Amino acid sequence: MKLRFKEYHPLCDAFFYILCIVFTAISRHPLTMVISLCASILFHIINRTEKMFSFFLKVILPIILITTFINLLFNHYGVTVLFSLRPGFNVTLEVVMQDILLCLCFASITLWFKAFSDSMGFRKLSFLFSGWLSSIGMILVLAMRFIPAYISHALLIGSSVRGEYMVYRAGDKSKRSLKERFHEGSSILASLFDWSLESSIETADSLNSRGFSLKGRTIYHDYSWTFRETICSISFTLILVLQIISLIHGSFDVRYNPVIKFPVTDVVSVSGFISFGVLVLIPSLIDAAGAIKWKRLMSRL
Amino acid sequence: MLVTGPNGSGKSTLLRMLKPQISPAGELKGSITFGETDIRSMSMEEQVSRIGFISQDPINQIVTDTVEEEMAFGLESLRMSHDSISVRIAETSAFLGIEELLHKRCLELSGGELQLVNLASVMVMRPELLILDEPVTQLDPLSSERFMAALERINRELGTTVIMAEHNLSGLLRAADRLLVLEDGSLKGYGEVREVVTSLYRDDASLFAALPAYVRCCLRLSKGGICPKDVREAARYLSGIELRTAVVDNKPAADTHVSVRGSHLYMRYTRDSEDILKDLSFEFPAGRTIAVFGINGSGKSTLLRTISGILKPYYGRLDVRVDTSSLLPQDNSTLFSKETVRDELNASGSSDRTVTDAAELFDLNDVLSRHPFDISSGERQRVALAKIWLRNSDMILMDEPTRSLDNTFRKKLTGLIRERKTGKTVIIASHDMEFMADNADICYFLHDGKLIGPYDPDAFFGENRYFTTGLSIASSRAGCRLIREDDLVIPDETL
Repeated sequence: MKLRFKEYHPLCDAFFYILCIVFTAISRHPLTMVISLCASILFHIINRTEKMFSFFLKVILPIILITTFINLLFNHYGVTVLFSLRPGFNVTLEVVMQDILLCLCFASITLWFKAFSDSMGFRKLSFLFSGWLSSIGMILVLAMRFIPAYISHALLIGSSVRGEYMVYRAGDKSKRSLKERFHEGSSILASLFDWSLESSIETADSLNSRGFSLKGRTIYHDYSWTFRETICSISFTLILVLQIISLIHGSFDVRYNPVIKFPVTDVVSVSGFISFGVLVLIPSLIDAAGAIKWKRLMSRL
Repeated sequence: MLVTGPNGSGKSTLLRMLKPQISPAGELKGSITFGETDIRSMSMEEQVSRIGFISQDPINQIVTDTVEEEMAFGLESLRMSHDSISVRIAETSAFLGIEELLHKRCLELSGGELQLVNLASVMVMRPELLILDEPVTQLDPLSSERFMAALERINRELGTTVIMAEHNLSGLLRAADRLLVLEDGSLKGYGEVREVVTSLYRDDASLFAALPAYVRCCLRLSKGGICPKDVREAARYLSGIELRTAVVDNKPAADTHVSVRGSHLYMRYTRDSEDILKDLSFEFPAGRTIAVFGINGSGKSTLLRTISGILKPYYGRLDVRVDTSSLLPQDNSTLFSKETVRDELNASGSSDRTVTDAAELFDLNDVLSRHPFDISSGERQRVALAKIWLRNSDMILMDEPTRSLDNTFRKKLTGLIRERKTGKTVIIASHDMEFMADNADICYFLHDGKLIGPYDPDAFFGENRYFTTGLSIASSRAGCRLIREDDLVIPDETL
């Protein structure tokens, strides 16, 4: 019995994530971003994603702050000056609003990608990319596996480089010069590069010796297309149509230069926002309904 | 069949030639036949299904997310149906006792469990020949024993031919029917295990040192007449003869200086994790070799990294009274960042002369111009040891220093440590009991985050049943506890 969205057929899962990520990325309307961000946070809360908040603080927030800073530093368009640091260096409402939009967009897309990577493991990707795309599927899977492996190995190399020769008396690490730090960093990168090449050779041997290059691979899976997937896919298709109409109509096309100009609110734009909201809430609703059903089933035992 | 030989003797090359898909590049002369068929004329599908291969590194062989997917991978290549794959996975996982791992993610498993998954992923294809290239080198003793037991069952109960390369023969001779010995790419011996081992003794071959100490002692005492394949056979032989022990005093003069002192140290990796070191207090004297024992995951590596200053205890005081230290990490690949072995040694050495000396001492002259990742795992470990040796630090910390080393070089390393350690402190964490028995001045046991000890090595190895040498167990029946080969007096040892 499918009680969670991640247990749905891979095609249905992939259809959702593509729609959700693409429409979040191409919209320029702050309301779409707020809806998308809130829905992604809700989805992670319902799924009790471990370390979601630390991921937000450690990964998303620093990138948001850096992007904001760079944007404010180089962009001075717009007519509504909020304050001026020196002549010609104006911080405008238009730039700040554009900044906020970018941050919301980045945060929500990152959270949706995290949900995507938690949901779409090797089996689902292999299934989606079976046949002539199987090599691409394999590259994607290995890339997803290698990233955390690279991070942990880089930390190990860093400690080994320091541990090879530790000077205690004058060896306070905080006093290392910039040159020493640069040298250490370059050593870590070089070592990581060599290690990754070496590891990939062994992985390639493992793939070869188990016949990855043989033609006509089968895919071992137990995915089934049920009535739920049909309903979901019909809903996604209807939403896709509504979103395309809204996009062509310009419902999400907010201008930030020279002044902030929102599109006219009409039936098409309202239906665009509502349909987008329904789209991004579908996985959370499915998971919440699954949780209630689980409790009901358990209470009968 | 067991394939053995010193590091760089060609074991891996030979094994890879038996699996054409992963054969090394180069010119092949002669032929290899599998049954009646030339191995190169076999179709790819035949090679995949009939010949299985497992290499040294457990993690790099994994290509999917979960254990079940990993086991299904090869069968998918062979175009098997869903139902057939399900049955094969269920059958193989039950045979190897890994049912509970089936739905786990591979990255969450220990090295030992991963290597069992690699074995299962190959065995699920029901190969007639299983080739293993030093599969237990990177595993701790318990995982290694579990893996070897599974391998023995595969051989005895399923009739699968097993060819395995390994340089450390402790515990492996019993399971082997045949032994093939390589040296510098040539065949040094091949045949029934006892015959080949005995011939190594009679020929006074350098590879004799590669044998476990209890085998060497029995062969020397019996002048080649008794060749035990395991500790039990050695114990049976030794209990029937009178043993004379030598008085060996390798202990350095007592040094009252303390090199490192820890007081009430607490160490954990994250706030939510558990303490690895708990209220740990110790005092290591200068100029001695301190051996740290402990079960897998007891925190030996964490202790060494804390002493070296890489990790900081969150509570307690660590007082290091030496000026410099060098740590040999468990994973030697993390030390290499240069293009050649020579560059690696130059980066750690103070002068050309010391680098030349190190290359000589660590038998690296033949590989100086090669990339550190293009040499054998044992040679790589020697490069890592040479780098640490070149640093000439006051304190040397070594985490599993004998991993991948052949026995000949292990003996040499013991000599190097003895030469170098005047005034220096050496701290070793290892599961290699023979090496630890040869080197330890003081023993400590790390358990539940605390160091228990100090113990005198003879008392430590003499009293323990598991953390001791094979020779110690075998000789205890003779009413005389020998810890290391040097403790034994061989009367009139002439051939």
